Amino acid sequence: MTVKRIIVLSLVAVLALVGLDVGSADAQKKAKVTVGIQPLWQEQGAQGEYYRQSKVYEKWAKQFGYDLEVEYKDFLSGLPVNEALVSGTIQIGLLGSAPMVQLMSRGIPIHPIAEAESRLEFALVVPPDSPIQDLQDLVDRKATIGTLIGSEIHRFVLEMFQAEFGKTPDALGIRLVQMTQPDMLAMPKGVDAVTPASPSLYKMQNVTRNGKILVSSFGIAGPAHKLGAGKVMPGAKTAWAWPEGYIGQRGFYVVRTELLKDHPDLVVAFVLAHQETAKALHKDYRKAWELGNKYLQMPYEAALPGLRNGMLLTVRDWVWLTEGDVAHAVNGAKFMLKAGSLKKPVDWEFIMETLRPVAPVAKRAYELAGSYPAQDEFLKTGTPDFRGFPSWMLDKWDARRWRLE
Amino acid sequence: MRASARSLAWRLALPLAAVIAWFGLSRVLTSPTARMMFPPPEAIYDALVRLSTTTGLYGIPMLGAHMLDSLWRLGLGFGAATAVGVPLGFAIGYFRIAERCLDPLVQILRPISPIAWIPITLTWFGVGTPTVVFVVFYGALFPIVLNTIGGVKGINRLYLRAALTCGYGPFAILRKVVLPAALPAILTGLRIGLGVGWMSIIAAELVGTRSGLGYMISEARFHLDIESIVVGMLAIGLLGLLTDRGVRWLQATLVPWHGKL
Amino acid sequence: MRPKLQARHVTKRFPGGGRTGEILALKDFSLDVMTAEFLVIVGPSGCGKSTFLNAVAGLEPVDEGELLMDGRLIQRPGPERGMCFQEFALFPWLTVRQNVEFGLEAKGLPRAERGRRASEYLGLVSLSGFEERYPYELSGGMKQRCALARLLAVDPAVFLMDEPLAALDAQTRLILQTEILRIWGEERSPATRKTVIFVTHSIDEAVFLSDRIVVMTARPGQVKEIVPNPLPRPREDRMRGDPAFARLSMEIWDLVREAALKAIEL
Repeated sequence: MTVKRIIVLSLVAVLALVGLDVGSADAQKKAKVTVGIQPLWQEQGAQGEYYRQSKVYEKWAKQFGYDLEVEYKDFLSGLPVNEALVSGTIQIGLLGSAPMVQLMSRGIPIHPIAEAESRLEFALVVPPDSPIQDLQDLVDRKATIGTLIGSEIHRFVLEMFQAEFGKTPDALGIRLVQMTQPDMLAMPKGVDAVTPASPSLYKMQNVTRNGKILVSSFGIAGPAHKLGAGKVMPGAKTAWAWPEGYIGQRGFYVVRTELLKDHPDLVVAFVLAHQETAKALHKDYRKAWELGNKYLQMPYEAALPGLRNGMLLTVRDWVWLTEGDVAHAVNGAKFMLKAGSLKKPVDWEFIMETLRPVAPVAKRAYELAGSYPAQDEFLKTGTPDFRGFPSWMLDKWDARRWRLE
Repeated sequence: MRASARSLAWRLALPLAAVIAWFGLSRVLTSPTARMMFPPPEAIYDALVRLSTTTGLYGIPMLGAHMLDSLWRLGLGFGAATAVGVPLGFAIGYFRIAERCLDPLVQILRPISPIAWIPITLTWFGVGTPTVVFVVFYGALFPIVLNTIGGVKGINRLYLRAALTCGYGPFAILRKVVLPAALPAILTGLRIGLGVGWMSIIAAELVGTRSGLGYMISEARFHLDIESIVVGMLAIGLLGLLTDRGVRWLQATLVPWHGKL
Repeated sequence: MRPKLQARHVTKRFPGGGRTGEILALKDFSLDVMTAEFLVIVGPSGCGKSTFLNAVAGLEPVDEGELLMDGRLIQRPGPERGMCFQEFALFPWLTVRQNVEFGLEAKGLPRAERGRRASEYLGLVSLSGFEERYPYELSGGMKQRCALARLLAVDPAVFLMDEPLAALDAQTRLILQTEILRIWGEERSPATRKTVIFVTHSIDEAVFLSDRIVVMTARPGQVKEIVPNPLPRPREDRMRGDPAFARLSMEIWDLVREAALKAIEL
């Protein structure tokens, strides 16, 4: 057997196999998609478990003729999701509006396709024995607050002081120091208050009991406040994001351009799978807690207030992107640009440009989901969330409606 | 004179070629994704200017302040490692009792990377300089101890014999013969320890402090600021080079005779 | 006259090697060294000459027998028995002058006195002008002269020299042999001379330098024979061509050859 003969025979064998494979093209297309989720935050944990257990994405992909292999990767925050999107390790990822805007500002080609965990609550938390009973006390003592500078949480703190006092914390004599979430949960000495996110803040208040909510990002006073828990803060209604609170937090599923171009049906399938999940878990807090508790790690009663905030669990049973959701992202981007956190500004037009290519996909998914909900649901007023025209009706979108010039 | 100019040219050749290649590649790789994975030189330069001149970016001080913070923490940790490591190495190398008692402990602790100590050190000292200094101390300690032991044990027996037959007692020999003879090995240990100290400090600062180059890199990452990360890396490289030169100068001054026989 | 040094039935063992797990370096070794004599020990490789020298220096203890100097047991090293080595053992971190002063510091002399004496000894070994050099800047012959100067500075009563010229080239070696004799005080009266025990492989060297030659057996080392050296002093290079020189050399080689052959087969 000469070397030459071996090579020729191998080539023939390879070609034969390829030929066979080409021949079977009209059978199911094989594909693999990796999805990045952030199961620590509110209902994402439950959603992720539902995806995994019910295999909804695989099911919907089959309807489009795909034999799909899905891998869900858990991420602790938006930052590693960004890195994974850049390197292509994931094709679909969940991002809060701040990391999403950061990625867009760098020109990385991604498109928002659906709403995910949103209305994540942040709160100003004080030690249980703290003498501080309202924001004025913080100002009077020239307090120090530990927060995640540069993040949405930081934005909430700034917007809160702006709404309540018309001034920045700096101008009021309040000092902000950089602190990570794990540090905050330990309620360290040396600061008067910290600003954890849900569900951790409920853990602090209801389980470890080393903190008490003073003011929530929803503009509501907490049990530590002298107004009493549940009372609306005096300046909250003047905030831009009212009725959502001092800020409106959003989480978006984004998709890389390659996946959209090569396999648009897989994008449709994912949105439909996510829609099915949202509908299944809507208002079923017990089920959401059962699925998600491996990440929440709290008793049901302690986790319930956090879960109740979740937009997809309480407010909407649909996942379509609307004008109002994007408005929150744009407002956040303005703040980030001022803070020097963005390379290039990301404005209304910018985000609309990323939505245009994906509009037909979004529309198709909506139709295949039975065109639920009806049109007027999007334009309903008096809801606790910003909504508006969905993302396949971009020509109707108007920035001025949201007081974003 | 000409020879040293030529040697300088050789030393600069490879870095210069790398920079040119970098410029070239950045002209070719222009997609946003590529620019994030492989930032072009102009973007790095912009970040450098921004970091050096803006205070309060992300609420943190300027590049120079970070470099100084990392540097003096390194100095503290490294100084402590030298102060502990050299006498310890001498004791283990020279006195058999010390070797029997202390060497097993040294051998057990040695393979544990200093980075592995960061979480537990955080529980001892909390976030801040003591954690970083401890991690640097730990990392630099073992190369110093081991090289000192090697230096002491590796002394040419003849030196000891010559000193004994000149009429010196054991402690005088320790001072006048063992110390100078072991000095080259000790300095090598210092150099290696310094390198390990640098690696440890960056890892420690990533999680353990609110200032310093490691922290700056961690903050920049949070804002997806790849260019600032590269600036941070270059700053680390520069400081590492300078401190290493410092030790090498020390070697040239204190032991000019070493390596020539 | 009592011998300066006495070795009585000295036995020395080392651990390791051989069938018994032990090396017997010296066995029942007895020798008297007279004051102010230049004694040369020759023998094949591994016969224990260096071991004996180290034992006399007090660097190694003996297992059996006694080593005495001036009638007293030798138990530890000391400046009264100075040593010179084949590899010079100069301290590379000290200058030539500092190396010489090293010997003087142990005596507790003040700095000025040390400097003066160091210069003197360096002059004696013809190294004046090289005081501030480092050993790595010197040639082999110069290094050995420096080592000699250090030894002189210590001013021991007994000079123990362990093949000091073996690392030098043949010509330098011949020149330094004469130098050593001069420094020893060959041209002065015997009363001023020190006692020297000189170990070497070279038979010619032994014949040129010695008052007496001790021939050792192969390992385990014992005294095979002691041959007195009749050649007149001062020794001169011309003597190397004399028939008497050749005769003595041959006599020594005859004694050594058998042991040397045995040492190679060993």
